[in-house]
Amino acid sequence: MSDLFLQFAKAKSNVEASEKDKSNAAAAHQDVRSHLEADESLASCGIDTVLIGSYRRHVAISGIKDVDVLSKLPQLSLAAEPKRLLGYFVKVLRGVYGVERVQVQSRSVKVEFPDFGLAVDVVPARSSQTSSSIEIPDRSGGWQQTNPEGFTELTTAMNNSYGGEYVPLVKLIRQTRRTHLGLRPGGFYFEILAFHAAEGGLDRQSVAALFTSALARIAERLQLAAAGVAVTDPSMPGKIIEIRATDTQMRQAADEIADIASQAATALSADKCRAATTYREILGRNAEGHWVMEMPPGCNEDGTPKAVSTITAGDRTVPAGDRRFAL
Amino acid sequence: MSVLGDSIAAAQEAFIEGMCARRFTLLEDCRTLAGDIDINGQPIEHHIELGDDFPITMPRVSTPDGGGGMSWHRDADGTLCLWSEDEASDLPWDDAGAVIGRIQEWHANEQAGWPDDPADLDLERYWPATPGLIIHPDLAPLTGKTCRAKKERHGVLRIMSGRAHRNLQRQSWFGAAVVDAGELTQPIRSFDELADLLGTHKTETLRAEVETGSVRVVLVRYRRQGHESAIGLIAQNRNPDRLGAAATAHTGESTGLLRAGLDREVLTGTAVAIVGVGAVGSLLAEMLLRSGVGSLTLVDGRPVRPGNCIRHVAVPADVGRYKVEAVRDRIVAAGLLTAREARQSLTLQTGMLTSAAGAERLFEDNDLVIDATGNGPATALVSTASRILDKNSITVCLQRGGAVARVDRFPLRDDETHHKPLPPTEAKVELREGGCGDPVSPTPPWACAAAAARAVGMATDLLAGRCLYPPTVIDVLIGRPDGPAAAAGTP
Repeated sequence: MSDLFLQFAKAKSNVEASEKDKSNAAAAHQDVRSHLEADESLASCGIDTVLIGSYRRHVAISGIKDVDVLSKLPQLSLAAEPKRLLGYFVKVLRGVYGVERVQVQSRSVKVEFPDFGLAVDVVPARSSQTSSSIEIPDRSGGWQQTNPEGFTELTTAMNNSYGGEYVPLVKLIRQTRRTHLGLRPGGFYFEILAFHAAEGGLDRQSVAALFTSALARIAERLQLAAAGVAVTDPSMPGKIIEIRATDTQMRQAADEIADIASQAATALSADKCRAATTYREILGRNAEGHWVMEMPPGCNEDGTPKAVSTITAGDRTVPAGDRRFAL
Repeated sequence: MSVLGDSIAAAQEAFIEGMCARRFTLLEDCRTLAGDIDINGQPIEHHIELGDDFPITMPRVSTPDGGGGMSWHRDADGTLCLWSEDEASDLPWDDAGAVIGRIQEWHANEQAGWPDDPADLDLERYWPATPGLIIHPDLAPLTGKTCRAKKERHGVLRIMSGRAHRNLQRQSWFGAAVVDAGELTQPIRSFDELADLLGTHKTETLRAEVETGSVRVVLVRYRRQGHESAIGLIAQNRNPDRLGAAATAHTGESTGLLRAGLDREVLTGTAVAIVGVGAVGSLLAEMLLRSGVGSLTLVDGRPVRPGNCIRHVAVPADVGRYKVEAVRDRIVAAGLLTAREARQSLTLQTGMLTSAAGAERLFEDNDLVIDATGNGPATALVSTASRILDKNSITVCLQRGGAVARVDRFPLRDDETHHKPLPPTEAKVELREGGCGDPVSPTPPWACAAAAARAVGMATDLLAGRCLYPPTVIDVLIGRPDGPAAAAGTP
């Protein structure tokens, strides 16, 4: 069995967002939030901005592309229309960042930070009319319930129950998705799949086993999803996750991940050099272009063993033994 | 990665796998393993940190909660002292099971109070290090007295009694204090811990002296299992809570004697004559004095030639002087004797040993005569006198161009015989120097040192009364393809 303890420990580190990415993201979202909170009209609605999304849940991987900011407006008039609300956010933000950098989207307003290579997605929200959750604009011009802060709490709890290994696992899963799939289904969808996989219990023998068993569970669930069985939202009991992937995209994703899961299962029981090669292909390269999985010191790049002289406990490295003097 | 780097990385990986198989987790830094170890039925978390060069270097092991006390067996940063450098020759830590076993053994010893603990006098390990070397005389007479430290070259601070002159304090004199912390059961690591041992009054006085700048160097005497030592602490910015430990060393003769060999004491009362103080004899003289021989008679009538210096203790400035004088001056320069001691302990004869009477006097005045002339008549005179007078002598020489060192002792005891002469080899090269009648031996300097060392070994064996050396010792220093590869005839 190839647990590749050291290589997976380094892989976890290699998918981490760089310190520069993190500081850029922090500077960007703090800047946007400060301008929103300074707006008198939004302040009169009791604006309360909070981070959500993969960045907030610490599952963002190297090359952060966006940071999600939820702008809760608890005193917003019930009559407020999402489209007009988004329009107001656009007006406020364009007043700060200019027309070129601010675009309205179906559910949010995107503020580009070209110097940082990332964007801040501002999502307006109001209190829910029917539950303790919140509502954000939907794609049809209405409101939809969501609970991003609830999902953040669930992620934290799951990470604790896995001794801190769940969040790194999600990053490895997101990295795998980024390496092998196109835009959709996206990273958030895979994070939901990973959550359900973890809920069902995974092999915790090692990170390699955890990753491999999670891939197997996700592959199974994707097959069902491709067949039309929707995935539930862990933070909203009874609700399903709605995504924009087409049927074709779902089928391709299901087939690709099934193949990857099968390769990973084979690698887990292969010799370490062959296993490392397989996991290397699965995890691909990070945003800096480096392989996420490094080859073990005794392996060539092509997965063949390298002739390495070993250093072993008990080897007599000092012919004369102990208790020598030469100073 | 280099070939050696590959091997080290492979060993690190194997160790990590071994630890992970024991339920340890590799932390984010990819070099620290964290996990519980069963200590008396209780799971205690340990961190095992591997350095870049592990397993050539030992791992650093700590208990994150700091449990287990701060005994002599924890370094200043709280890591467990698991192996001494003396135990490092077979990399015992390059095995996960062995490391865990050692950690459990450490805790068992910690709980038992380290019953077989050697009294290492290394308190400075537990303090932040500061540069410099503090040298001091016996500290007992200075304890509690006004002392000063003189700043000398190479970062040396010399402790002595007396007050540092106020105007000079900033230049080469500092105020110093000597205190006695008594027998230590565990290392002291701060001024506050020192205060617990010294008592309130002494501590307040010392704190005030440091804070006012009247004391900058604090020497703390301490004892472990009856052995005494001292740690030298230097205050930074007049702050008693910022004391750093400098290396300390005792300047007394007793400290020097520690390194002179176990025969030092018995050799102190002995006298040795060396006939011929050339390449071998000059080194012999110095080594005998370093080993403790009380007095030497040096016999040689030849001056130092420029070419001698490469194999002799003489330096170019000695050229033209008698070799015996050059040796005496080198001994004084090396600090083995003062000029006054040299006049008392060294007898110089600037002539060749050619008479029976002269030989007889040497045997009368000395416990041992060593012939290091490599000269037939002189050697014959010494050995004959030794046999007839029944007094100890040694003859040392190099043969076969320095390939063989030979030492013979006289007189022979019952049934002893000397090794027969080694057959000569054909000279490959014959070196000549203008003005020298004989060819110059191609013997390299190190072979002269080897021959001299062997002769000193035989000499101290005789002077100490052990008499365990055989009558002939032959060391093969440079092997021949058709000859013995290893030294022959060693005891």
